[in-house]
Amino acid sequence: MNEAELDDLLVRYADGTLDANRLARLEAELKRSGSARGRMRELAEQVFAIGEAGRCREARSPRRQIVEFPIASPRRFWRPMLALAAVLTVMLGIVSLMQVRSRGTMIEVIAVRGAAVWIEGEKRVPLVAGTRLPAGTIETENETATAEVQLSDGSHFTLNGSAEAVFTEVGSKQVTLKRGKVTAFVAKQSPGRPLQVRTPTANVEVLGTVFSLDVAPQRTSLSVAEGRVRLRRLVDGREVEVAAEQQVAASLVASDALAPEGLKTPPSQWSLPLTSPPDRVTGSWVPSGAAAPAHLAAVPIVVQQKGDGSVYVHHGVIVHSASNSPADAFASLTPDSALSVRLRMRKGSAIQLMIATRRPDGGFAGNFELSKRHPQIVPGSDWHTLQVPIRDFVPIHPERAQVAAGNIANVVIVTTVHESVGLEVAEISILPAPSGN
Amino acid sequence: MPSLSQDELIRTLLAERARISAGVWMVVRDVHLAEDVFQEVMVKALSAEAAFTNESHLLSWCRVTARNLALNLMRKRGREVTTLSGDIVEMLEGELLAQGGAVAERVEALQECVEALPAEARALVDARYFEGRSCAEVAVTFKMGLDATYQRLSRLHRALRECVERKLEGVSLQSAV
Repeated sequence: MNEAELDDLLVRYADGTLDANRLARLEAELKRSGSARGRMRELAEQVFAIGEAGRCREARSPRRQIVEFPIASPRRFWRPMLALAAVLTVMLGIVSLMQVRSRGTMIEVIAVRGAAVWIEGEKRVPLVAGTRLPAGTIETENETATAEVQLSDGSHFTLNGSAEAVFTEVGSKQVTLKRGKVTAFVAKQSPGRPLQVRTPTANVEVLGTVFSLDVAPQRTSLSVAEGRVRLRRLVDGREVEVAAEQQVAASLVASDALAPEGLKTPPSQWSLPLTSPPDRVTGSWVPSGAAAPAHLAAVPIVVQQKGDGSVYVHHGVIVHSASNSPADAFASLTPDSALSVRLRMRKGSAIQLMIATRRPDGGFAGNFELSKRHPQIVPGSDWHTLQVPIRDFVPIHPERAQVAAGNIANVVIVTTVHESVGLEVAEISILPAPSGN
Repeated sequence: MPSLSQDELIRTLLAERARISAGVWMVVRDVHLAEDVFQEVMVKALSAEAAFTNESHLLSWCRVTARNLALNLMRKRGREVTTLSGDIVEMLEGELLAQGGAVAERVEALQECVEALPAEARALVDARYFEGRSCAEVAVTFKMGLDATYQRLSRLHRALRECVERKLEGVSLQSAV
């Protein structure tokens, strides 16, 4: 049986419209051929993934108020409702019911990418989209694995960057953000019972708004997209109100300014300075010498965990901006922007490029990636400049943004795939347009 | 004899959800029914009187229970005529479960591929598989002939397969930032 006929039979089997003769033919092929069975398994996995993607989308949608769910198909209009209700109430209700019998659920996991866990005491449970969990800690384990969760009042929190947030509810809801980046949409809270976000350097009170926080031990950066947020700096108790399209940073130094300012838009051009060891870079800095300019030598980078717990390792460099704040981002991306990398490597390899982006108001806007071989980069001691239009990058979080243009870039990664090929990077720039090199 | 704790049991079942549900789908061919069956398996496992000595024991039990529930569901619905025979389903499930964590990796890659489909293609696979419309209904909605709908779906499944292969060849950097 050829592939086209097998695919046709599988699609018809899925549709429940195979007649007895065709079913017998399909069964004979499945019995005979391991590759045909592989096709059937792949189809089942694909449909499962389509179902998961659909549930995630519905969970994010305001339409997920179940009684209001409008579906075009009258015959099966109730299916998505039931599935969603079932997934969110039965299966994960079971988890919370059986796992923490005496407490209600507080957190609903909407989407997860990369390694993320829920922690309570000694328990570390991998986060699974669609699950409901009691109060506890959510941790994204590598620097920008992403976890999107929703509280019972509809407030959304997206953790990215190596982040740790503790969700509790004592009187009012409280989130303790120990480190990392969080973009929050906070539903309208009852008057006098604001949602509180605590960080090592500040307390933030929210009655209903959209904002982003970037938390480091010494500093909390707050950017507000909508509404107003009250921030209290812990070191001296000073309070400020931060309005929409404003940002402020709270440090542990009382003499530092604590004045909200308008969100700043970074320029459309940026270049990584390498004349001295750069901050917030993963890679081995090599000073300039007779034979080579200052550059970064690739180091092993864990890019993903396999199902069996082992890891995929690439070799490359990562450059982070100083914070989530738009003011610290590398560059504003336009439709004509290009990523320029000057590099060399000992052996030929595909090159993977990634840019992490945020919205101009500081919220997470998704990552963009491109992986391909560039025949013009000849292995050896010569340096080559690779310029890639931003529009060629593929969105990793298309539900957030389909294109990178309009966002601001705050992380750049350059790696080769799998084995080390001696990648060295002498320049990384974001240009307003390809320079024509 | 040591047995799995409730925490271990829940963790294992959630980690195996993709494999178990995909196996059930091959019988029921409806993502929401497959989810219902998975939930029923979970409830039965949590309330089972027999202790599960290890993950392998639990998964074997889940596989048999899920298949029986799915086949019973189909019989009740009078759809057994178009369901694969039990021995083939068993073979497919066995191979699915033998793949370990590779299924979860592929499903994660698949979700990205599904999200990246062009809008019309995404709407078509959603209508067919998420909303549970038949190919005949999809054909009417998308103003295509029935055979053309089958062909279009076959092409989309092929495209998703190729997309996943590409993704798994060059593992995404998104976790590394």
